[in-house]
Amino acid sequence: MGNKRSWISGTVVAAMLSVSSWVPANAAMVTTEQMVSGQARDARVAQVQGFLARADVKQQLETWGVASELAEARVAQLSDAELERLAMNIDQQPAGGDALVVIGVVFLVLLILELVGVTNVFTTI
Amino acid sequence: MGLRTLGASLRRAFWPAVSFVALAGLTACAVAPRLEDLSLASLADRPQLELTQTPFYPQELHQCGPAALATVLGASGQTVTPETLADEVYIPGRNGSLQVELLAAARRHQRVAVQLAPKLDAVLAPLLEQRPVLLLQNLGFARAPRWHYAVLVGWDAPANELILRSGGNRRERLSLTRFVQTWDLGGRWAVVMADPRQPPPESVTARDWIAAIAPLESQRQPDLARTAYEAATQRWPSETLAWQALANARYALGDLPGAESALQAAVDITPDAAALNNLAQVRIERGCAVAALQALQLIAPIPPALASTIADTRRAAEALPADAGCR
Repeated sequence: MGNKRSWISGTVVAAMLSVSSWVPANAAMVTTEQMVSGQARDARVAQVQGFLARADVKQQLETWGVASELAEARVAQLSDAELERLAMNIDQQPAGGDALVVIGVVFLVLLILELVGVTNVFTTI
Repeated sequence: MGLRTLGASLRRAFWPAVSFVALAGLTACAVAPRLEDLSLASLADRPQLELTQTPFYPQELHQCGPAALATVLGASGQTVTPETLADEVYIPGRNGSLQVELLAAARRHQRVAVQLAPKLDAVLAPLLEQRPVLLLQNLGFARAPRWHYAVLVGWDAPANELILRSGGNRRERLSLTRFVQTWDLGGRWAVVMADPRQPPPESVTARDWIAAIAPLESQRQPDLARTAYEAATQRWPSETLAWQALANARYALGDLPGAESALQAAVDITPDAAALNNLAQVRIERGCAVAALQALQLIAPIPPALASTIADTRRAAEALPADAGCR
């Protein structure tokens, strides 16, 4: 992963440096997304990081079982700022889905009550 | 440590733990809000309200994200099935959906999801405009979260309850206390769907409207963004951010004079550094070296985050021949 990533960043930086010579017009405008997120930075750096974030997030979605072509389309739908926020902490972001964790919690509470001697659920089974 | 010793030490910790939980419960009760106490004026006129026309899609296992999104999209006039949305937002490996992907999927269906202020009255207000509210709940605990998306469709002030489309439940009635608990633990996240071609909802702030529209710019839909920003400058004419955003959309569409006039309106309200930088950049592209440098000179102080951008703009302005005519 580390090697792959540095290889990708090397290529991307080289590509962006050559690209930046023909997109000077955009370079000095502060975008609306930067204004609302308060994350104004050098536009060229942002382009490179956006590209890396796209690859990172797509790979993470695929690791989590999203089909490759769906992951591609989904990542394309995200804005630069959204991608960057995701790439930073996609693991920690809440994924709403009504998971069945609560059963585990109930079990834990029962076990504690049992150990404490309040209940006798497990000994009677 | 044997099971017996563990049991003994847990027994010693039992009553302190119980009293702690009881105390926490008491404090929670002490601040439990009542719908009647909210500052929302319309609550007095409409003690009960329910958007009964809101569609209902009973959720499949783990798929409350697609179901809740289909519900609010449907209410906004875009009928999309949860099955279609599952391909756009569901993550099998996480058994759920991420907030940011819900926002992106809304844009895919010609709607924007506008974030609401993290206050109870802000979340209730959109219902008065016939807009149900998509929100994130944590039905578990802070340490063991159980994330869940649901859709708020009504309130019942006399009973102090809220009404939600939630999971397999078409009409979940939730006490306000329980709702606030779960919504609090979920980070107080809530959004409404809006059509970017229509005026912004009454219940959203200028900043949240612009933040919802801004991704359309980098999504190659600057014409749609321009329409929505124009509506923003009409609704909030003294909001400098609305004029700056409008300028960016006009700039992306190649309308330099239009971008310049919007930026002029923005800096007339507040001499914001980003607005002045962008004004200088537009003037450079129109060939106005002197006017570009004048705009840059008004930036004080230079915010560190913008230092390199502003330096680039200044270099470009200085490289222009001073006597070049403006286009």
